[in-house]
Amino acid sequence: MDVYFLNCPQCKKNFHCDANLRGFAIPRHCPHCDHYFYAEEDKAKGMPRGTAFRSLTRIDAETFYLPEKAEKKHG
Amino acid sequence: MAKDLRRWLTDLGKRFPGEPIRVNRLVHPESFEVSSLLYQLEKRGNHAAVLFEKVTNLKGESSEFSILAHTFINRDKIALSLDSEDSSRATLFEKYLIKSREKKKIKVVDPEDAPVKEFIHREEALDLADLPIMRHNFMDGGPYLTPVVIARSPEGDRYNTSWNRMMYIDSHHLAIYMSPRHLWAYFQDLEAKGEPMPIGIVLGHHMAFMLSASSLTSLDEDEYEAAGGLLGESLRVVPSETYGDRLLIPADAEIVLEGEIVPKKRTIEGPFGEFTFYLGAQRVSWLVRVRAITHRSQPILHFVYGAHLDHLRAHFPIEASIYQRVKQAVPGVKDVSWLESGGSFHLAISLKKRTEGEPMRAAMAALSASNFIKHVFVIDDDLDPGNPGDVMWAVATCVQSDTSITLLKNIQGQLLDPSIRQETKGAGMIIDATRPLDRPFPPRADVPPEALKLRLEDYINIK
Repeated sequence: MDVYFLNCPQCKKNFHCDANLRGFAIPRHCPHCDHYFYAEEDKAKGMPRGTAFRSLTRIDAETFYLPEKAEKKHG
Repeated sequence: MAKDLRRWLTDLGKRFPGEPIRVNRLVHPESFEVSSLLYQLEKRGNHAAVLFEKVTNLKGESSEFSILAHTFINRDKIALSLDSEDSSRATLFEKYLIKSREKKKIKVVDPEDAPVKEFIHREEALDLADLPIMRHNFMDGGPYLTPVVIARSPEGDRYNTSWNRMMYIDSHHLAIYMSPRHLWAYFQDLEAKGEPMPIGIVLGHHMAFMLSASSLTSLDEDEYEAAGGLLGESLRVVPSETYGDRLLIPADAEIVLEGEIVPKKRTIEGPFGEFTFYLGAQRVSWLVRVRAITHRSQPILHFVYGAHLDHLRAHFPIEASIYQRVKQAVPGVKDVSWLESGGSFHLAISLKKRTEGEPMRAAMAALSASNFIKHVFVIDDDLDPGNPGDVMWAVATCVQSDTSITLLKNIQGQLLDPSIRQETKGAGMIIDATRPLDRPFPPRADVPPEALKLRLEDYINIK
């Protein structure tokens, strides 16, 4: 699949994500510092492509599980 | 005594004295220490299995668990797992295929007879951070387990086993990646009804059981029974703590996590170093809630070492399945090599060609057997498909690119292929590198067989 790189707002290191997620309000997780965050451009509508989305009808905070440690950090 | 991981380790030591290498210095798996040591051994060409006897858990505390890795790194270990004295590729394929056809019904045992039930940690008391979960490669999204996942079909008529990478998230949650195959299909059915999918996460068993999970089996085959065939005895199973008879788990496993894939919930997972030796991207995956952990005393947690030879060669059952399919299509096929062909998505086939057209037919059989294959090289039977030098020599000397290469579009690709642009649609290629039968072709240059009767030692003082 196509990928794209983004930088963690906390540690500034980069990592790569599935390009299908780009623009959607889906949390990202920095593998370097364990920080969960939302990327800036979370304005895309509809559903991303991919087998993980096949049975879903919406993307929102209810859809994605974030661990307790993340709740304080993200947003 | 039933076959289990401890029996495998005993047999390993008998066949390969000195194995497993026992590391009794404390290591921190979550800080890449296990990964570093395995990497250095591999680079030195040391393919011994390694047992790390003193490890820390994710809290940094000394753990009662030990860690085992490098159990699939070479064919010798695969041969041991299949009770074969001969580790040559084609022989092992045949052995594997014969054993996997000799399916055996499961044997249900009582919890008192199930070593995996020696210790039970229920949901309210368990914490996945008590496990020594290793980080494999830089930029991996977190510590990753590499278990065999067990699930029962929604109709209840079949057990499925598969390898699914799992990323640690917190005390009770893991992220699971599912390729769109059987486990994914079962979960789709249940999720449509809003139901979770109970699963067992096996973290160590006899290597024949672990190998069976990467087999290409059809939906009408029970994979517990197939595992019994590879083990050479019925797989002993016991009702799980959380789901009872609805989910039977291997009684002789080292450790089993019982849990469920949660419907309508997703999580973020990855990157993770894959068998392609590249890091697969971070993506949205499915969520597992763990409800119980059961294990033996002094439990051994088995890992497949991600993105290294151990990981690649653990796919041996798929290679055997491809061999079977290709040989059925073209009986003149002598051998195939996937795992030693020089790349994760290459397959080389050697065949005794009787007519033109056979190379294409053999290649098409291989491509239809598995979406792990995108490039197929067909060579003559005097060459070794497991030797990339032989394959490349055939391509160099027998291929004209305008007539010998067939390009394929829109074939089902493999999501883990870093070159693929869409999730499941890719391209492929068949290279017929066999010598032509329909026109004259030079013979190979070689010394006359009679002359090779000379003994080198009669002329040169050589050891």
